[in-house]
Amino acid sequence: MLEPKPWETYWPHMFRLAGFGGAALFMRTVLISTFDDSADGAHPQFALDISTLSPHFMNNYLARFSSPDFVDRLSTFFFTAAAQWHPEVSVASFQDERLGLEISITTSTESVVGVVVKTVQDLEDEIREFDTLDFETTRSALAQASFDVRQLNGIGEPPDGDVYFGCVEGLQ
Amino acid sequence: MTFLYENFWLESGSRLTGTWLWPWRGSEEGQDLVVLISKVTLGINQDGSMECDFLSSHVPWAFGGIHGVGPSGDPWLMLAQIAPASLSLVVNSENDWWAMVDGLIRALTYNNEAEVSQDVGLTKADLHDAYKDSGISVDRIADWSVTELVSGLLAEATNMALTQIVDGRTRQCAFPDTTHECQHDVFRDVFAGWTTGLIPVPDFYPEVDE
Repeated sequence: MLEPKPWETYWPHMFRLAGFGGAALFMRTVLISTFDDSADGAHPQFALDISTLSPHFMNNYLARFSSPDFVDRLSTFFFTAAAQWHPEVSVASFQDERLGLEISITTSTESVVGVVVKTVQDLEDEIREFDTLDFETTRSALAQASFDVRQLNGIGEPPDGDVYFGCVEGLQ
Repeated sequence: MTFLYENFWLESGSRLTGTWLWPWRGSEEGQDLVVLISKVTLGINQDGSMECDFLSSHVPWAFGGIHGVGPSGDPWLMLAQIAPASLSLVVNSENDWWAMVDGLIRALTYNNEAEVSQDVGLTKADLHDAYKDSGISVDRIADWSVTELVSGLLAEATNMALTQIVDGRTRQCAFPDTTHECQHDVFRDVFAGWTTGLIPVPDFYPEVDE
């Protein structure tokens, strides 16, 4: 019997950070096929779908690749933003150039934190334009997000090596 | 008799964590309004206070509700919607609650961990019956709008007796014998009073049938 290939046991992982006023940031893993001239054709790669939601719009950015340490950095960002007294001052914005994503903390109270999500509309544009989602969420939701986002790493029982969107070592 | 706790199943040891009223976008004039109250269970680690605001933002006929947690901390909310019964004619539906059911289903697509566990559709006559069950004669609430009747049932969930709420509506104050920052709206006064501890928490809350 043939061993299942990694993509046959693949189960997509979802991430959701919701906020007041109907705002939310979603991420979803997707296994895509890329082609190059060098070898035997298709190469499966993990990518990420990103969506931003408000009561008036939903923007989707599909099959984007990230930097290698994306999940760790984002998890740390969320946790630090939830824990710091004044994260709008003390926490640097999260940026992932490859993903075209920037998340900043703009305000805070003892229970609520203001978040701005900026997403590059088209990564291939020379002059980049951004979509912006500005919302407030709770510190507890941010703390939970720091754990939830780590699920994005747990794709198809990954090998010990680094797993990120756009490169999966061990996945042939 | 607390209407919401009598009509919606809650695990013993559940407790209330908050209430909210949403700016309702409808009009009551010349309208036959119907009410849908839905109990929604949330994801185990979701924040009820924020999720009720998130959900209401995506529900076209959202009016208000309450949220709480079960004995294990699992969050839930009860969302009240109010809409004209005539909306069913728009889609040739025989179900007067159709628009509200559809609006909630749509909103829940943005939260995969939330699901409706129970809902109750009500007419104005049903709301009058709920007050009658608490020993209040219909004469005393005959001039109440549907939004007021629903607000009263939500306010009652804070452990404030419905008779006290009806008494307070005349003077738009829920705590006439207590020094407090009056909201000059009996329902909002109850909610504010619950937040500031003016309403005692019962020993076993809410009471449920085992």
